[in-house]
Amino acid sequence: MPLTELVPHLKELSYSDKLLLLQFLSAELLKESGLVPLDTKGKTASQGLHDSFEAAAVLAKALAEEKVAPHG
Amino acid sequence: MVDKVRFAFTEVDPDLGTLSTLPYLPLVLTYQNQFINVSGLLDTGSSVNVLPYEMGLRLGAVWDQRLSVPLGRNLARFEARALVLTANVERFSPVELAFAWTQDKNAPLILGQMNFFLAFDVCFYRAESAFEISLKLA
Repeated sequence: MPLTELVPHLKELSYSDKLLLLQFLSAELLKESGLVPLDTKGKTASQGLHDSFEAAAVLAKALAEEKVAPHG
Repeated sequence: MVDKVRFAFTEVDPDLGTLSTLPYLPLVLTYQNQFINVSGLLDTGSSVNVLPYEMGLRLGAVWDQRLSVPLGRNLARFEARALVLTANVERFSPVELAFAWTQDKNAPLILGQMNFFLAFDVCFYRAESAFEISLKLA
């Protein structure tokens, strides 16, 4: 959808929805730029690691493959 | 054969003294013919080992050849790949450690449940700012 068509719809949004949209857009821009929001810097390394069980399963698979073909 | 080795906690902030000490373990990581001397944070609350992006590059690992690793929450914004390295700790026999090699430039080197704590037993003596590790028997 072209921006010119989108703007009239955006104007109809409520105040809180406009705020949420603003937050969404800034988060998208940070994500695309690979930047870390200031309020999460320093916390990124410890959050989400305690329950990364799928990641642990992938590492177990990598270890098993390593035993078959070392440092492949 | 080495039974167990005791290490002192590392003071992170001199102003805070023992309040800021953390269990960092010195080790040598090797990949193919490259090796680096590093310190990893022993983190029993982490499901996985985490390797900072720069360390993987210094070891000559190739990002595109690795399995993708789905890390949770805030770390999910950064892609991570599986990388198996040989780790030498003190005089223990070398062990294979699997890392989530992350593109998060702020990530420290973390030694977590998969698989550091499967390879080593660790006993923490927080009041003494020390920990002891021993290699698990296969």
